[in-house]
Amino acid sequence: MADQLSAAPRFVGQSVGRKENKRFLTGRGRYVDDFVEAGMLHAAILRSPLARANITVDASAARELPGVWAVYTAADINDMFEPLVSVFGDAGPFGVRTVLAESQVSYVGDPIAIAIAEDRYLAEDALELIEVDYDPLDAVASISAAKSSPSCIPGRDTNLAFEMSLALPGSKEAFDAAATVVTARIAQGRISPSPMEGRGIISNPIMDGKLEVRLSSQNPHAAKSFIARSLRMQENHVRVMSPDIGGAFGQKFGVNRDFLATIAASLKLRRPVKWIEDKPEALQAGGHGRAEELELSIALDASGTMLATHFKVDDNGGADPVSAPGGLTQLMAMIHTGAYNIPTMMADCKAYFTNTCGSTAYRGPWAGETLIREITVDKAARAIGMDPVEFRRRNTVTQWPHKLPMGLMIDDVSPLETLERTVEKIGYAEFRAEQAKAREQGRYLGIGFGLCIEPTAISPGGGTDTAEVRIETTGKITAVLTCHSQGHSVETTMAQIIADEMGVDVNDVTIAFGDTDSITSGSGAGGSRQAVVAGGAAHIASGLLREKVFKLAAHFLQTEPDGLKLEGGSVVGSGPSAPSITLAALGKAANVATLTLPEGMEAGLTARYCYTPPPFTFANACHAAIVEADPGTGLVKVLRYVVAEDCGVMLNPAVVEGQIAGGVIQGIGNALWEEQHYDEGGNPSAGTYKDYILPISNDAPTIEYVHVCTPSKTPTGAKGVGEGGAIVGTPTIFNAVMDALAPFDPEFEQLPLTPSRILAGLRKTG
Amino acid sequence: MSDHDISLTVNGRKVARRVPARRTLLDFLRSDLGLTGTHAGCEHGVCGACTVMIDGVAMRSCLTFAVQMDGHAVTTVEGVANEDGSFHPVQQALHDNHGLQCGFCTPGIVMSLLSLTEGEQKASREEVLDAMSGHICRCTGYQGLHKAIAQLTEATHG
Repeated sequence: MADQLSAAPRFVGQSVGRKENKRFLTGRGRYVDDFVEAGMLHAAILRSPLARANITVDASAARELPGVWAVYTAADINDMFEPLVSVFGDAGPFGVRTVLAESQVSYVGDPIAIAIAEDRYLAEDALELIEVDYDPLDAVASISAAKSSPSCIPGRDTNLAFEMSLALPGSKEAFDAAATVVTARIAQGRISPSPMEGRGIISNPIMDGKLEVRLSSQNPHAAKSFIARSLRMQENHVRVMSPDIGGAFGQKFGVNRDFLATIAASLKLRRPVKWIEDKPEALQAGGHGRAEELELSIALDASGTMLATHFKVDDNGGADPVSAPGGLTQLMAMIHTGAYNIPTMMADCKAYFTNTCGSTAYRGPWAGETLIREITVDKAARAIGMDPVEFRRRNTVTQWPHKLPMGLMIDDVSPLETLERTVEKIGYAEFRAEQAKAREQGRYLGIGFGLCIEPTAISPGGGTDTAEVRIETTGKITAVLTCHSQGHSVETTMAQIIADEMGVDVNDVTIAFGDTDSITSGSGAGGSRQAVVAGGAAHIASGLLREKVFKLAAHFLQTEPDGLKLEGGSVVGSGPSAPSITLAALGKAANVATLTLPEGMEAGLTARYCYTPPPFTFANACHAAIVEADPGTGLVKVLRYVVAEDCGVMLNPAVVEGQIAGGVIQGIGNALWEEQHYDEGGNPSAGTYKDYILPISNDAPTIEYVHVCTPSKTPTGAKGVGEGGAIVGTPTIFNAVMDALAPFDPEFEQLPLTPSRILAGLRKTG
Repeated sequence: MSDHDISLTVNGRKVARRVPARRTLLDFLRSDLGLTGTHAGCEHGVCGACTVMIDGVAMRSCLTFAVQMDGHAVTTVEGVANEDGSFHPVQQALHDNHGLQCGFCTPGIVMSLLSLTEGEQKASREEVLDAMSGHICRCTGYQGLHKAIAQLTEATHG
C-alpha cells in the first residue's frame, strides 16, 4: 500500500475539525423530534405509579375527548406481537414479555396504555381521563428481596434469572495457602444513562405492507430485525432510519416496549405516529445501568503477590431488561483480573428480576469488574502496608500476550507503561509531600489510581460492519457505512481514513449512515467498536476501490496498474513523463461515458467490504485523580485528573480526547452524584434532573492526557476508546476519596459517595 | 382553554399567530414556526437545551409561554450565524475547541454564551464559567466548553 500513496497518512492522526459541527452549531441538526410526516399523530404513554399491582383499565372517557384518535391498552395491541425477547434475539430468561402491562404492573413506569391525538398536549389530556384501578401487591425492589421472595414478574416461576458458579483448578488451594485475603464490597448506584435527547420514534406505515420508522437508535439495523421479528413481518419490509442522535451511551441499543406500542398504534390507525420520551419518563422507564452488587476477594502471599481471586456479582435486571440479565456478568468474571498477574480464580454470578425499571446497557456495561477490582487492590495495598502504586507495579503483567484465568488471550496492551506515565504526569512523589503538608493544615487531599484493560469492538458472534465506497461522476467520494454517531464524529473520522487511502482531501469524502434501506446489516455504535470495525471496513473497501481505480486509469494512461499512485485527487504514473488522470475524469468515464471503458469492464466505481473483526480488541488505560474531601461536610472536589490511554492509532486526537473526557466525567458522576434510588416499596427517588444529579461544568476538572500507542492488529491499528473513561473513572475517584479520608478509617460500600454516605462511613474522628 | 393573538419578532422577522394559552414558547418555535434548532431537553428548566434569547437575555423557552412573547423579540440558534452563513465567534469558539459532540445541548449553550459575551455588560471568564453551570452536556465532559469560554473572554477582554 505504501507505494501506492504519495506519502505518510495525511489526515489520520490529525485533529481534523468535525464535519458535523456546522449543522449542530446553526440549529440545523435533524433529530427524530424534528421530523414531521403528513398526517402525523402524537402519542403519550400512561405509566404505572405503583411498583406492583393488579390492574383493571377503563379508557372509555379518554377515547371520547375531541382530538383523541385512539387509546390502546394491552387488550388492543399485545396480540400483534410475538412474546418479547432480548434485543440480541435470544429468548430468555426474560422479564415482562408483553408490550403493554396486562393484568399486573411490574414497576413504577410500566406502560399501561397509549393515547394517540392530534398533538401531544391532547394526548396527555387523554391520559388523565384513563381510569385505572390498582390493587397493590408487595413489591420486590431489591436484590435481597428478590432472593427471599416468590416471583414478582407475571409468567415467571422465580426471580432468579441467571446463575453461574466456577472454581478454576488451584483456586481453593491458593486461598487456603494465602498469607492475606482481602475482601471488598460495593453496591453501585443505579444510573440513568441520560442522553440529552430522550428516546423517540416516528412510526409510519407506508404502502404495500411496509413500515418506515424513524428511531433514536444506536443501531438501526438491529432495530429493524427486532421490530420485524416482534411483528412477524418480513424483515426487508421494515425500514429504520436513525438521523442525528442526541447521545445514547448504551440506552439506545435496544428497542423498548414504548417503541413497539407506538408502532402498533400507527399500524392500527394507518397514520404516522410520533412518540417522544420526556425526562421524567426517561428517569423512571428509560432503562437503568450499573444496578449490581459486587464483591471481590484477593488472596496474597507474604510478599504481596496476588495468588487468586474470588469474584461475586448480583445483578438487578429489573422487570423488563433489554437483554437477558446475567449475560454480562459472565464477561465480568472472564476479564475481572484485568492487567494483574492472577493465575486462578473463582466466580459466582447471579442475576435477578425485581419490580424496578429494566436494566439497559450503559457505557461499559461490564464496568463493575474494574470498579470492584481497583477498589479491592487499593484495600489490599493498605492491608499489607504497601504503597498502592508499588503494589500495582509488582502485580501487573509485563509479558504480552497474556492468557487470563478463564482462557481469554490479551495482546497489544501496555498497562505498566500507562501506570508509569500516569505516576510521572501527576507527580506522585511530590503529591505525597503536598498531601502531608495539607493534612497539617487540616485539609484532606487524596490520590487514587485506576488501572484497566478495556475490551473494545466486542464481536464474539461475528459483529460485522460494512463500508461501501464509491467514486461519483464528479470524482468526489461517497461512503455508506453501517456505523452510527451519537456524538462519535464518524462523519469526520471515517472520511479521514478514506481520504488517506484514496489520496484525496478529507473534504472530498462524504459519509452516510443510519438508513437500513441504504446498506446491508451491521452493528452500529456500541461497545467502543467504530474506529476498529467500521474503520476497518472503510480501510479495506478503500483499498479495493483503489485497485479498481488503477485498473481503469491504466487503460486511459495506456500503462500497467503496477506503479500507479494516487495523490491530490489524481492517479499518477511513474517515469519522467508522469502521466496522470483525475478521479473526476475516471468518475465520469466509469459512471456516464461508459462506452469509453475497456471491453467487459463493469461500469461504476464502487467497492464494498464487510469486515469481521477479531472477537476482542483490547485497549488499556491508567487514570489518576487528586481530590479534596471535607470530613466536616462530606463534600468532594476533584482537583486534578490524569489519563494515560493506549487506544492504538488515534484516528483523530480531538475526538479521542472528547470520548475519554465524556466518559471520565460520567465516571465521576457514577462515583459521587448519580443515582436512581428505589425504596423498599419500589418507589424511585428521582423524578426530575433536580433529583438525579448529573455532572455540570463546574464539577469537571481539566483532564490531562498522555497518549501511549500500541497499534492493534486490525486494518486501522486503532482500538476502541468510547467506554474506558466511564469504566475506570469511578474507582479512580473512589480510591482518591479513600486516600484523602484515610485518617478517619473510612468504609464505603454504596455508590455514589454522597456527602451523607461519606460522613456515615467515617469510622474514626481523625 | 383560551386562544390568544400574539405579535413578536423572531430572528428579526415579524411573526403574528394565534396560540393556545398553554403552548410553551419551545413548542411554538418548534411546531408553529418550524424552528427545530431549539431543543426540548428536560422541559423542567434544569438542562438548558431549550435556551433562547428574549430581548437579548438568555431564557428557558420550556418554562415560557408563547402568549408571554407578545411584543417581544426572540432570537434562536437559527438567528446567530452571520448573513453569509459563516460562524459567529461563539459558534467558532465551540467548533475550534471540540466543544460539542452529539450536538443536542449545543443550541442552548450557543444562546447562553451569546447573551453572556455580547451586549454592553460583557461577563468575565469566571462569570461565564459560573453561568454555564445551567447547561448539562452529557457527551463532552465540558472540556471544550471551558476552552471555548477562555477563547471568547480573551477576545472580548483582551
